[in-house]
Amino acid sequence: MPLGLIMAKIFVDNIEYEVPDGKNLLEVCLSLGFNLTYFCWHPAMHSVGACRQCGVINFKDENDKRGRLVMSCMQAATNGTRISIEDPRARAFRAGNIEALMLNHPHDCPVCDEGGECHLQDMTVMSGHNYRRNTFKKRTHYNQYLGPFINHEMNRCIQCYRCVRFYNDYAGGKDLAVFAAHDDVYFGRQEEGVLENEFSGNLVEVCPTGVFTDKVLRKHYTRKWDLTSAPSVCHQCSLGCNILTSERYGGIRRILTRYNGDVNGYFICDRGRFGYEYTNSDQRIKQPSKNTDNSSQPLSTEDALHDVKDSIFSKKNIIGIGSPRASLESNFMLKELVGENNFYGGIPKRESDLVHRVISILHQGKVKTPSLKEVESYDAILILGEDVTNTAPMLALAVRQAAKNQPREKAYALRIPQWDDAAVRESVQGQTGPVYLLTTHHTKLDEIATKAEYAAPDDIAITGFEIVQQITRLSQSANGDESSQSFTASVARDLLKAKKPLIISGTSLYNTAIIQAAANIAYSLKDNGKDAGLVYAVPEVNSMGMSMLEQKNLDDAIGRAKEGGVDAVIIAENDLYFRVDRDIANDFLKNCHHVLVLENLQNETTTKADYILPAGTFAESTGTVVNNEGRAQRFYQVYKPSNEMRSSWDWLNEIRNSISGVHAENFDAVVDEMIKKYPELAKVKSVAPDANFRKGTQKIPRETARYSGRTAMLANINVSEPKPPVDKDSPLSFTMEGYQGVPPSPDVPFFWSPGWNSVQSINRYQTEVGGALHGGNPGVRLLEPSNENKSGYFNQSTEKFSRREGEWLVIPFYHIYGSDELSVKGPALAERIPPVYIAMNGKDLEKGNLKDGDHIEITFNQNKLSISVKSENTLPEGIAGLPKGFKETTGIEFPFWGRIRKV
Amino acid sequence: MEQPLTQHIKKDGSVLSLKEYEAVGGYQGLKKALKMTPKEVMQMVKDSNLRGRGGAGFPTGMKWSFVPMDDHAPHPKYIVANGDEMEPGTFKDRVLVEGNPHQLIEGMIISAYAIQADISYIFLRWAYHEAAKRVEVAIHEAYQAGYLGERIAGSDFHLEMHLHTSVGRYMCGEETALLNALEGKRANPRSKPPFPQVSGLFGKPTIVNNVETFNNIPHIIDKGTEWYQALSKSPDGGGTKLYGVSGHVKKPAIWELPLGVSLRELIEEHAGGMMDGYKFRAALPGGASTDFLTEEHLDVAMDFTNVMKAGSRMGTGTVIVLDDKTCPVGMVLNLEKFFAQESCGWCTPCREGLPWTAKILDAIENGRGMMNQLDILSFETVYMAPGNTFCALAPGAMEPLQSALKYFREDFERHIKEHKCPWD
Amino acid sequence: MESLTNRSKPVDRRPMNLWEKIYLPAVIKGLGITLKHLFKKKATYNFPEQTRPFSPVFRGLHILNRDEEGRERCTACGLCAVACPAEAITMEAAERKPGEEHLYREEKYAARYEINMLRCIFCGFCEETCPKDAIYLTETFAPANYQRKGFIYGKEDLLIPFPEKENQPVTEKP
Repeated sequence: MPLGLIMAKIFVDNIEYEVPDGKNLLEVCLSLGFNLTYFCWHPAMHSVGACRQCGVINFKDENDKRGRLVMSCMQAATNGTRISIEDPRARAFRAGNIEALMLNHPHDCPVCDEGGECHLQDMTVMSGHNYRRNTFKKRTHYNQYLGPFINHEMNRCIQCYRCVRFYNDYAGGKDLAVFAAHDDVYFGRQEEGVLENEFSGNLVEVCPTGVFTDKVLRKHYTRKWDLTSAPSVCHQCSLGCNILTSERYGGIRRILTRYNGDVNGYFICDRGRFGYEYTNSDQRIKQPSKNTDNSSQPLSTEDALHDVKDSIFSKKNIIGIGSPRASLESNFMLKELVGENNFYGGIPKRESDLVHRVISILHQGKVKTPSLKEVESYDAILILGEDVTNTAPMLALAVRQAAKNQPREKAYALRIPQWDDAAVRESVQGQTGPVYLLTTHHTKLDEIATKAEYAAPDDIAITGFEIVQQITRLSQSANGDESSQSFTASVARDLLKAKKPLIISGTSLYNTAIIQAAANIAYSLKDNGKDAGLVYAVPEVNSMGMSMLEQKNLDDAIGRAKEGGVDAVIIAENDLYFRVDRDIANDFLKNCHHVLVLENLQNETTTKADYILPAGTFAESTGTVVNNEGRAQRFYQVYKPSNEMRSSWDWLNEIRNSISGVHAENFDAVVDEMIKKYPELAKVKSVAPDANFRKGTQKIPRETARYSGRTAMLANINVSEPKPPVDKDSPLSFTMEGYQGVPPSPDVPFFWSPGWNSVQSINRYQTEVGGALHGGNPGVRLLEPSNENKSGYFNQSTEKFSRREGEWLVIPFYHIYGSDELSVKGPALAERIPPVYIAMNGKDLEKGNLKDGDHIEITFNQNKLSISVKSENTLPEGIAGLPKGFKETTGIEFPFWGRIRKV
Repeated sequence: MEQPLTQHIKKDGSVLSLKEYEAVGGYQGLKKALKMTPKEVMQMVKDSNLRGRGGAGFPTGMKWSFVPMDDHAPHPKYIVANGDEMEPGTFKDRVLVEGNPHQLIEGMIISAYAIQADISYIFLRWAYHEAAKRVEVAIHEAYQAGYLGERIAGSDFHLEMHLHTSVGRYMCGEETALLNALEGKRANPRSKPPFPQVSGLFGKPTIVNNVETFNNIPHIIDKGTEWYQALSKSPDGGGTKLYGVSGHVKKPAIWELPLGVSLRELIEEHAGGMMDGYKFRAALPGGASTDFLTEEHLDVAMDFTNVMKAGSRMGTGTVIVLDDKTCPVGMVLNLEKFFAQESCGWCTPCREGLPWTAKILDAIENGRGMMNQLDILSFETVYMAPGNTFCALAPGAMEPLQSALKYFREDFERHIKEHKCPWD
Repeated sequence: MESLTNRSKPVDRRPMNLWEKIYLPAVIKGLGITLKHLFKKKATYNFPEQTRPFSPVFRGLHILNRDEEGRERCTACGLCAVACPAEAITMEAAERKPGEEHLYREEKYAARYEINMLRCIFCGFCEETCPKDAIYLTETFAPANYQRKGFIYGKEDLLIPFPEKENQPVTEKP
């Protein structure tokens, strides 16, 4: 139910305010900046009225002096609403309610991981309750093992029911529930075990106290006030969710959601939250080094720059290989260094073509790609060929919300307000709106799908083109094929019936036709007057940005090296062995003769390098990345490492300085150079304030005002206190000195407000609760559709999949934990990686006289892989699925035809 | 004195079969109703001034009128009989269901016709095994006789009926918690609005009425509103009411009496007065979740308005008598333990406040109490006042406590001062 | 101008009379004060032969305490560090592993705990803020040292010895 812009006058403690009519009263009070206590209400999950903590006195009119106590979360703000927050009765009630919650809450704040950022602590102080009158024993519970991510401590529970509401109702989880009754209520799993949902990490932020805490943080625990934090962007998939990355003692300690009302909202997925541990890995490259066949010699920065100049840049043909996980600036600087003609995007042709195709569709097509948050506003969805839960997890969460839109309209028609979560859910009864899935095999979103069909990649594309025909047919004849129950007909019908239909697809199957089919469907819906949307998931965090800079790809570079046109290569943050087949990578590096690698973790490519320069990960670098929507977003260096790690662009800048004397002064200078060369990237300049930005005269501190131990932290190394590091690249400072108010939205390093130490302080950074951050949500869209539709409809060029005798088409299967290159290097996430397998249809298995768990050998391009089989009956016959990016399958180029033999 | 609800119930405790029920005029009301329009049936119930017998006394006809009746109204609509009778001291529904289940079924069919419901449920307390057996048989008989299913009694009206025996939570007596339980969810109450009449069972329009309320319906339709109004002694509502008395009285039992008999008449005439050696001290007029009434209130007429005026509620109309040889603190403790146990755990005051109250009362009763705990108890009664909690369970639980603190404060103080229960 | 307190006295600016001008009474008065001090208790001590008695609230060198069973009380909550006005305390928390229950009282403990005694102002806020009664200020001074490094007190310096086995420190030096 869209809230109109009708304003209502309300009175809070006899002062008049103007607020949007019909909005939730608690939300309104928080938006107005009042300190009103609450627990069960959550800005993304709204009201259920369970905790009774937001009681205020409501008066009928100005003559009503008595009023009555109401829960503000269960009231709408309408014209003439009169309430008092400060009325002594309301205050006494709220304090009494905290007292009741404290009857059983342990006084273990010093031991508790939540201490210092606990919503319950904040609310207790705010309510004024401070003296314990209870003289009886507290109830106790047993805790459960919930897997490597989440720690469980039930004794601290205050039964706000937020965890189950998020986990089950919002995120579609199945294995967290509430048990027992009265003051013995228990939130947990039916039996101990790993929490299965991909968004379980959000329980850490959703839980108002320390029941669910971050188990990975616990391994190197640090209080919130002791963390040095910076605004960052998640590098673990293409969606670019905003995160807060925090450091202490030179190690990344944890990641929290950074609210962005246009992208990820209040949540992030578990890969994003717990997949940072590789930054602390002992495989990190910390020092420049010179490698010969069997020895590695560490170098100082000066020596390294000197050596690189002498032994690499003395060569004639130097090429550069960029990377989709390096920032725009790093890719740009490499291109500057080696020259326009010598720079190559770091992805194979097949992938590169797909990403370029996506860019041209989003830029020259006529359909808008919505932001991640906007996805939640669509009311009919078709997913073509993408297992979004595993390739772009937060997109799956957004789809789950969008699926609720159509049934909810009926609840709103019964005048149930949007914020009355429980009532809306009772009315909707778990129904979902039209969500159609057309994938290669069963995916997790099937459970909310109206209909899910499985087909070979080419057949998915063909069905997509058929849907376009159906749409045309239905729209042309008023009495078209209304009765047909076929998949294509139902899809076309429901997409046309919807107000805002959305098509989701992606590059994961390496199939251009699917991408074109998705575009055609969106175009035809647009032509039928629909406010259609089109979302593509792309492989990596900066796949879009790198491809905007460069047309050429890895295969071009490999070809050139084969012909002997390369004397030296510079590779920026790219493990070629993850991209292409081993032999090809080996040959390529050999053909390049001299190899300089900028990398953050040791990998196969670095073992072949002559020189290695330690590049920072997202934690030690500053840069800009472009997500699948074409939104450019800035991430900032979190701390100054004590070693030589730094942003790749910074290294490349230094190298350029040493060879040609051209030196960009700081990050902003690099951006300026870049947008001068590439005017289409001009908007990158306005992604975030530049380094000269000051609030008053002050920079924005990365450390909280309570940061402790400054004179002691490094005293064991050197008693003399060093000068604090200076950040010349950003408006942020590395200390706690600086502007204490709300910084510009792209530069929020942590959320805190007086009296609000928990993540709930986000309320104070928003123009209104759940709305945009002050000054607009961060990020700038670089791609907008063109009205002329230069791209036009695509012709169907695929043929139907036909199986081959004795051979299988092996397609990639994606796993949220396992298919990503870097996150798998962290121990917590590694625990969740399933054992490698090859999935085949049960009938295929029968024919081959195989059963689940049997070992087979698969042969392709002179490669052999021994692996156990798993039956997946939704997979079409003649097709096999192999997890992508696993240790055993790294570098395999999908899809491929393979022969399978029983071992 | 007419006793339309109970007059046919057999004294030997056996059930009235369909044949026997029809022989004494059963299903006549239904047949009449099916000849009327649903609107007329609803109007008749409105005119009869029947007020809900579950405890709150909400006018039944008015409750029905909130159900959407236009052509676009969502279907299926549901009608549910609330037979989850777990109020301590109350057993009126059991008498009706065990004695004459067809009267309930007929009432439900008529009600279903009035709101054009499609599916009906009898939600029965888990412990009522005998009643469940009898209802099951009765539903079967009604289907056989064509009173349920398609084309009921030759009309176009159809209705399905199911028996649901709950797993036994006091909470299920709250109509929205009952609906959640019926859906297979936790028996937590729902927020109101939206009321079940708009979005109830499975999100569809639903009417939940007490078993006794439904039992009244056939007689209203059959014998008319004027006759029905005349049954009552009170201007407060029509019909008779099942009153019960328990405690140390000579003849604890249940009787069908005109609405509005006095408390004194109930205890002294019908229950035969106090047992020898016991003196009346106070009474809970309508089950465990009502305020105590004392000797000065004995002449209060037992109807909704007058009991309210005396500072309590008529509730279910089943009186629990407190005598001078029973410890009032012990009695309140017993009740609060029950309520604390039965809290669903949804809202804070009830979940945390009731067990604390019970613990404090337990300490006082066993001589471990402290004077400041009386202040805590008084605070709790305010803290759990109506409106402060999600549903009516905790405010109900506070009613006997707040009146006990008012009338028996000296007894509480004696417990604390003497460090023991004076009645031990 | 109005005086800030009620204790201000106006200066007596009258010219001195003869009695005052000869200064003798004032000299005698002054010598009297000197004489009085000869019989008073001495303000100095012959340190180190004599030691000065401490006031009962004297705040000296810190110790990290153990509980009755000899387990470390500190849970590395960080409150001492955040309360420290000189920012002289720092610590790193670690999680107690199964089997270590006899070493650490709480489920977390300080793997590293350091006080920079050069910075410490011995205000005692750490002691006051400690929710676990783990840190105490004793009656000893921080002893002199030849190197500034020697004033960085780690856990091995601060933690009191294990009660029964007095000469065996339970924690190893890092």
